[in-house]
Amino acid sequence: MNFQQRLSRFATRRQLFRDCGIGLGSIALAQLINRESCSATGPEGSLGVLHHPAKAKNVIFLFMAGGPSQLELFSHKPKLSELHGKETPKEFIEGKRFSFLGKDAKLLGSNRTFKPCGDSGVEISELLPFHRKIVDKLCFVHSMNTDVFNHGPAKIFMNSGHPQPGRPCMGSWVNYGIGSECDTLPGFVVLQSGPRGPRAGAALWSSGFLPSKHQGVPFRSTGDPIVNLTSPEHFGGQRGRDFHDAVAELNRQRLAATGDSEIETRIAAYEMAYRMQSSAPELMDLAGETEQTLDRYGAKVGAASYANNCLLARRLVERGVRFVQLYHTDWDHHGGPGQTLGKDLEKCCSQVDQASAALIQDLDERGLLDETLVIWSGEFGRTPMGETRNQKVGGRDHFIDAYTLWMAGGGMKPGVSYGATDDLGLSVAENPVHVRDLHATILHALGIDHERFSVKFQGLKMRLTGVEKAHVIRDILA
Amino acid sequence: MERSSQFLLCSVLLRVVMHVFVSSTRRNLWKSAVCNQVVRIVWLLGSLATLGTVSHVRADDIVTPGDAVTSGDAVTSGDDVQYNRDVRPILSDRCFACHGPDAEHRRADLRLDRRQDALEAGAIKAGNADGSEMIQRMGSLDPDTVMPPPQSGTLSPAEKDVLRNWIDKGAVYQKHWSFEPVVKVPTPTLPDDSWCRNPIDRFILKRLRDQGLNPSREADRAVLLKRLYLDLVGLLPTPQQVDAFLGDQSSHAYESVVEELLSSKHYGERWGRHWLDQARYADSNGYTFDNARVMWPYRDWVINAINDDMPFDEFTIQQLAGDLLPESTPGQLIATGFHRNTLINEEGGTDAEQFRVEAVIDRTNTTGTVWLALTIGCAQCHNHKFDPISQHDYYSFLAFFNSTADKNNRGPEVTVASQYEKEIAELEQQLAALRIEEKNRVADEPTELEQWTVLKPIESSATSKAIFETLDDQSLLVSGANAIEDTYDVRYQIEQGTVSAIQLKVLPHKSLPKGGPGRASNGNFVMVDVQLADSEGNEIALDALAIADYSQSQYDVSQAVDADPASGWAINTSQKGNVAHWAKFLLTHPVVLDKPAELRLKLRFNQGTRPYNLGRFQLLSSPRRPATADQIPVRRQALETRKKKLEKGRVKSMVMRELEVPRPTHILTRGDFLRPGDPVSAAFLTDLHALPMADRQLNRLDLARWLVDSGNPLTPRVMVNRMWQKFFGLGLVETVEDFGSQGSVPSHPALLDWMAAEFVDRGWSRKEIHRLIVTSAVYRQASDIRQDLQQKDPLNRLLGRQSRLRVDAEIVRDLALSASGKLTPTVGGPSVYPPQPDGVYAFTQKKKSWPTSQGADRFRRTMYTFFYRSSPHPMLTAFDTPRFNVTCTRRGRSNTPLQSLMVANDPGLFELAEALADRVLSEKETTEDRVQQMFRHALCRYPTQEEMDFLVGFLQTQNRKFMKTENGTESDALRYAWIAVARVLMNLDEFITRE
Repeated sequence: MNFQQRLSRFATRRQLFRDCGIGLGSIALAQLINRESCSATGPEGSLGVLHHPAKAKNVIFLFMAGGPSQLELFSHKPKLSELHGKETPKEFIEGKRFSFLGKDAKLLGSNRTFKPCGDSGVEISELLPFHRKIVDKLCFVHSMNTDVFNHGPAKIFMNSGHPQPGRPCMGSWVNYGIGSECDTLPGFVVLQSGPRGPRAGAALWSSGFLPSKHQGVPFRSTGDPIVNLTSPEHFGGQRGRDFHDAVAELNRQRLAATGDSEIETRIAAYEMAYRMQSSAPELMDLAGETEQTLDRYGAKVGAASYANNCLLARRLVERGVRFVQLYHTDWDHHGGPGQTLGKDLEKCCSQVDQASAALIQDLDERGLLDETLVIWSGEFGRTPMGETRNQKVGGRDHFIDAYTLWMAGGGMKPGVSYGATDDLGLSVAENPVHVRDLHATILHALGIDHERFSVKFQGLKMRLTGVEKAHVIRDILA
Repeated sequence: MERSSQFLLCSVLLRVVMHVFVSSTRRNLWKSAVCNQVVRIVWLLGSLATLGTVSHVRADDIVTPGDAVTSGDAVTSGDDVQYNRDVRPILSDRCFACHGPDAEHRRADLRLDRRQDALEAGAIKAGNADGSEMIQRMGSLDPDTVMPPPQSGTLSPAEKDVLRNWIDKGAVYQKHWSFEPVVKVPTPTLPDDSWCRNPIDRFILKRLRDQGLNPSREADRAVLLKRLYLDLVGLLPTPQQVDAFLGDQSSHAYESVVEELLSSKHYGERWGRHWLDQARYADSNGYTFDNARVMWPYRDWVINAINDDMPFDEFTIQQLAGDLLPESTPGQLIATGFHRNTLINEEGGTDAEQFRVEAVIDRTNTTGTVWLALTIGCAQCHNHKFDPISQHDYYSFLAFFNSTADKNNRGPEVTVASQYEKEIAELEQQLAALRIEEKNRVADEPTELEQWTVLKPIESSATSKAIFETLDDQSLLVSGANAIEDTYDVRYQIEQGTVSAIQLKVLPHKSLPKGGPGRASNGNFVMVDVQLADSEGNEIALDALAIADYSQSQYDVSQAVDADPASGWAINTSQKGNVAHWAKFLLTHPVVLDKPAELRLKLRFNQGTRPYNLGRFQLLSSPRRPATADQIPVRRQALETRKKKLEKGRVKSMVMRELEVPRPTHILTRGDFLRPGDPVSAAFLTDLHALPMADRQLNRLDLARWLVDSGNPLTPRVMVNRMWQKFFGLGLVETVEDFGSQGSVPSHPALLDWMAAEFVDRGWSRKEIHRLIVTSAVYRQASDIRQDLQQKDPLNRLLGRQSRLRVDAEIVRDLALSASGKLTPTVGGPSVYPPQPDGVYAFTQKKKSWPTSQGADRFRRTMYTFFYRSSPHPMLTAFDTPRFNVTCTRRGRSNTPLQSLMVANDPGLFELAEALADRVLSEKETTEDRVQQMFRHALCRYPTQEEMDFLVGFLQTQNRKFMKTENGTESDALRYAWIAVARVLMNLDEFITRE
């Protein structure tokens, strides 16, 4: 390349960044994005330089789809048990909206046994014996609240800060902002377990108006982990290499004829696609893990389970994947058949308890927990009132006013309980944390100031945390 | 690299970084003094680094859209000064941050954005620049009084001159540019205009010349032809079409192709798809369950309207208010589907009112974005921060959409005429005839007796190879194979005489499940078809009406003679028991036999999932039709059943319908539907465009007319700008969705206005504007990158060349269909299901039905692919098709490894590569001819020698390798090798790029 050519290649920022060492995976910022927002772009993501030093590099979000009951798991309410079967105070029900609950719903005490655990003395229910062993590494938030009470919109809200589909999700924002350190796998990977996919589907990992390279890529547990990863029959192996070489050669000839650097980007994209063909199956193959590790998670080679996914999550962050999101479905315990707070809840708990705990311990032992923020949460919690289905009170309705989640690693204080609800768990009594506060806190841990992290779209400065004031929960930051 | 070059490079780099930094700082991204220091240091370094260099690119020289307003593409005399074009950019950049609309950061209580304020404060004295404090402060040497303050940088002498000149001329302010009326300026005259083909070119050429640049040469003719095809119809020209064009030496060769394509039925598909993006069209309801919906009649309406070049004003009125037009036609109702493309939340426990309001908000915002390019949605929760839209205005605008009958459901629908209409009409006639017959019937007419004779079977067989046994009563008993689908074929002996009717008796037998008469586990059967033929095999027509002593609900006996293989006769054994039944079929024309002969009976059985075949049956014939008296009610019932069934199969499309009593509209506090505030009534955004309001409540029809009123400053500008975007990659206003003050400014404001005025003058004809654009010289330029342009205008805002653009997702596959010759060119109709990779639904709540299309439907254009919002075809999402939850006015154009995997490995695309290989193998003989032909099918040009050599070499190597590895025959290996070549061509950047 002669000097003039090189010079002209710096003429657009896009090219400038590429030549400044932008990873092969992070390609052309779509023209869609307002150029001003990209103006601070550095070698990695659009932010280039972090707003402040990061505590976490990667995120693993364990999404408990359906809304686990905080009252059966983390939020011990003896008073609620005492008033079991009594009328719910009127002032509470008035003006509230539920999806299924009638106005005459009675309070429902939990019959689960709680016990203070670890040095921190955090109370955990009998349903989560493995959690009991790791409480000193976890940071509980008991005062979560959200805006929407239907599954689809609430999940979209938890991911994108907006109840309607169309906005970028957290994983996309993070990858857009700080890029990914992995150039053989996508920077935002989604894994799924449980009897069905999460409601609202692909809207939960959509990149919205951000470039589509930041969208979450679902990895399937059986067959090709990524759609169309495998070459057509007869065209794999050496034929695959031949194919990629030929495409690259002819693309180079066209590049020489037209001078369009977009062709260079395409050549790079094909090269990465080729590498993904081997890196993705390698990632999914758990055969190299020790018996001890597999047992600890409860994972099995070749199986499709939450346990396997937790182990995969560790392998993903080891490889530098920025944002991993696991969905485990079927936490929607309204009380009907298959939805009871009895054996159905027990089943969900037994599916996730051991592996969640194993993930924390494994990350910790490998020195990865410090740089990985793990979040365990549903899209909302469940009501202190019982819900009647089939003439039986056996479940709880969706509840958006107060619920519990936990975080670990990545700059969170361990062994902490933050926020509290009243004696009945009906409302937040201290330190409320809204979903947007959670978003602000997660971004903060990653070194991003949520207020300064915006993209202009359709005339608005769009932020993950939206227009209303969001607060970083400083009290739980280590 | 030489040291001096490194030095140069470093300098350029710093300058660029600095430029970026400064412009960010100007926009107050960083306000701290530290940042300003950094800017200074960088500036200093940049300046030092440039010392002693010969020539270099100065970042400041790079053209940005903002330059447009200062240089302009209009004819201007030297001292002409305009607020929007010349003054506002300076004030906005340098003054408004502290002296603008933002009360929070305002200093000295001074506003310069409003004339009245600036005059009252004495900052500006209209007509007297020297007496204006603003000008005095700008020239001050005292760092404490000089404006802008020193750390914000000083104004250039040119900028000061502009402001001085403007004040001397009276300091005339203007509204934001897009709110000013469209003014058709004269086209620029240029000293040498031989390059220009039409007025558009003059505007473009003037700006290029002003920057000391020249346009590019015209693109090669083959490139030009492919460009036209891709832009106007989204398909490839065939090698014959390319040759015809290359060989056409006439001066109108190009123009005649343009005409041909503008009148192609595929034009409406390509441009219809662009509109469907804006209409957020999809085939499902969205949200959690995302069930399928029928909306394709609306898609057909759009395609047809665009093919017919329906004027855009009418196009608008029908879609926004077709239901309010006097005596609206079904077409006008279907058109209102535009705003029925909103989501429906079917999740249990939802509040219908909440999602109704969501839909109304979406309709409001979509209307704002699509027609006005205004982000009126900003005013949903608070007054718009930048544009003159208050929250009150917003909800008054929303009120237009707040009184429709739908409520988070399918709501009002219109029945779409279908292929059944003719038959339904026939049935209605028959029913009418029957009523007359019944009326005229003489009471107590003696009924003729039926005379039934049992027929003797001679030979019987079944496709399943089931076994037939003839019992003493001449009935047949079936055993052995029992297939899910079966056809019995029985020949009967018949004596001479007349046959007017046949009777099929279905009989129980102890060998059958539950005793029969059917072979299903419950003794039932589903007989979907009865056919009668003579000994020659000629079909004997049966009436569409049949009679039975009993038919199971939904399984009327007439369905066995309705030519619909999906419906038939059954007898519900659980209700009626396992007993004998009969069915009588009437011959349309009685058959008279003058000697003994044969009758051939074919019975077809199919329940769909399990074997439902008949176990024992007997056939009888009668010389007379069953008595008329019995027939009338039976016949009526049969006809009505059939009619109902056909009517059920009619397609219904969702439409808008206004409530009798309008719903009151309130301002919603913070946009929350549970917190209604003051009531409002429907009103236009009068700050933008005032129309005399009628003395009555306004409705959607008024709104539609307001939007396309010739005086509306936004609609025509917005529309021509979107067209421009499709032909050049970027709009003249890059933010095609935002013409408000936060959007980008036009690169060629005069051209935009000229085209907007033309659009209205030419009767809102889209084809006219498209023709104008594609026949311009600017459109016909080569798209190759030019170094001089790259340096001055890297974003190609000046259009000194065409752009290379990756095609849209749908077109990626359409091109493969086109090249392979597999394309089914049918226009319109229901959505189809081309192959998609396994496991697409692994992550959705509900597995969607995806009955992969076979035959012609497998190869329809991709815009007809069924679109589930929660799980679109992966090929579409990989190539930036949005999910159409909200309106989309421009798509992203990303370039990712997932796209590479998609084109390389997707089974649906791979089979097209195979088809291309097979096609070329059959079309040409020699290797060179085949390579050339394949290249031409895929890329629509002749390969260069280098490309040819490479591909021939690649083919031969692949052939050798396949010979070794696949253990196949020679011809297998050769075919694989050609598929390999086809696959390479379809994966080239050029294949999916409009050059």
